[in-house]
Amino acid sequence: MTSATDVLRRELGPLLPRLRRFARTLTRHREDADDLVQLAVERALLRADHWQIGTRLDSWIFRIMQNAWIDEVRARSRYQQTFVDEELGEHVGVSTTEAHINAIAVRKAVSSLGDEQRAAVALVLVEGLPYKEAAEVLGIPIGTLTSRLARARESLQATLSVA
Amino acid sequence: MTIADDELMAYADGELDEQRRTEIELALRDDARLAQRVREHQAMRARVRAAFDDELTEPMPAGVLRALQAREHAEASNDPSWGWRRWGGIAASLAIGLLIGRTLPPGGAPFDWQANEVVAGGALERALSTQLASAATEVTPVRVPISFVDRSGRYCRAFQADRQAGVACRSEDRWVVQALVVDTPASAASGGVRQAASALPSTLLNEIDARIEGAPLNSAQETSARQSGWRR
Repeated sequence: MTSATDVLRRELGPLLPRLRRFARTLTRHREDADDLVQLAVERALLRADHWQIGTRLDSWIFRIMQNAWIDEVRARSRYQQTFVDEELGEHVGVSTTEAHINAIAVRKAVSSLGDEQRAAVALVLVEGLPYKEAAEVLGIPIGTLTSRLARARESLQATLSVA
Repeated sequence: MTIADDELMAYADGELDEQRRTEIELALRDDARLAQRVREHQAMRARVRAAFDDELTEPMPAGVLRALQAREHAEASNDPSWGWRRWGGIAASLAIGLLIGRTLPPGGAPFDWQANEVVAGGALERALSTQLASAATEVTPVRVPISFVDRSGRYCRAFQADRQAGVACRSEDRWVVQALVVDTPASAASGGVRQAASALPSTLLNEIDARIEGAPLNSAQETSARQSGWRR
């Protein structure tokens, strides 16, 4: 086993919760998200020598996930129902704080965005990637990223100010 | 000066170079409407980010952990020790990501890397050093249900928090985490509330079995161990 793989394995562990968070926003489904994370981890380890130590590992894996989602996972996505819908059902009758209700409203608004805008929001607003990194993950020019992001924000603003 | 909304957004996201940033800051002073718009962009960013925060603390499914840990598929499936040994190891590397946040009470990060070891910190360290298994009368955020001496003669203690359980052994003046498992009872996985006094996961009991020398400490032995600062 190469040492690059071992380094990668060590660095990947603490990233997993963020990878899953990104996967959930992309797929809008818990099990699909877990599948996507698992697949991305397997691919990343297979291609460990393609990752340059010192570059952002999160961006690299996000890119693997984004490509796998577009090319493969999306086609066999399990359900139309999003996990935000499941989540709304789960929390009926459970004590909820205002922050929690707000969080669900935001997640629901994000999940109603189209795939392209949702990915931009997930990378920049949730994961905090710089525009340049986010554009590279998505394989698009920075101008395209900012325009998707701006439209996504307008849409969120509109949805959430009505709610 | 005309400033496009996309540029205000980029300003709010900290994306502009210094010169353009300064120009915009000057413009914001004179234009309350622009300043308001920047605040809206910043507020939306903060609101979206906060809405996804709690997803970081949920337990990671076993399939993902296995994918990360699998060296070779053949080895993983043929190796009878596959299970808590590896799972514990990988869970330890996940701990920082999983535990930061609401899993343990405030008071410092529960885990710290020191010289390639995971060392208990914060509320976990305090619980390990001060709580007595034999005197557990109330529900505490971290439970320490068993203390024992391991085969190398160190004091070790099992601990259990919201979603993790593990074993830590005293090494000089630190509690070194030996095993950590993501504790996912069905109730927690489905969003329910966990019972306070639930049993240790079986993977962890195996771990204790593999390490313990003799019987667990009784009340007197435990009290005396605490008085000695957990040194033998």
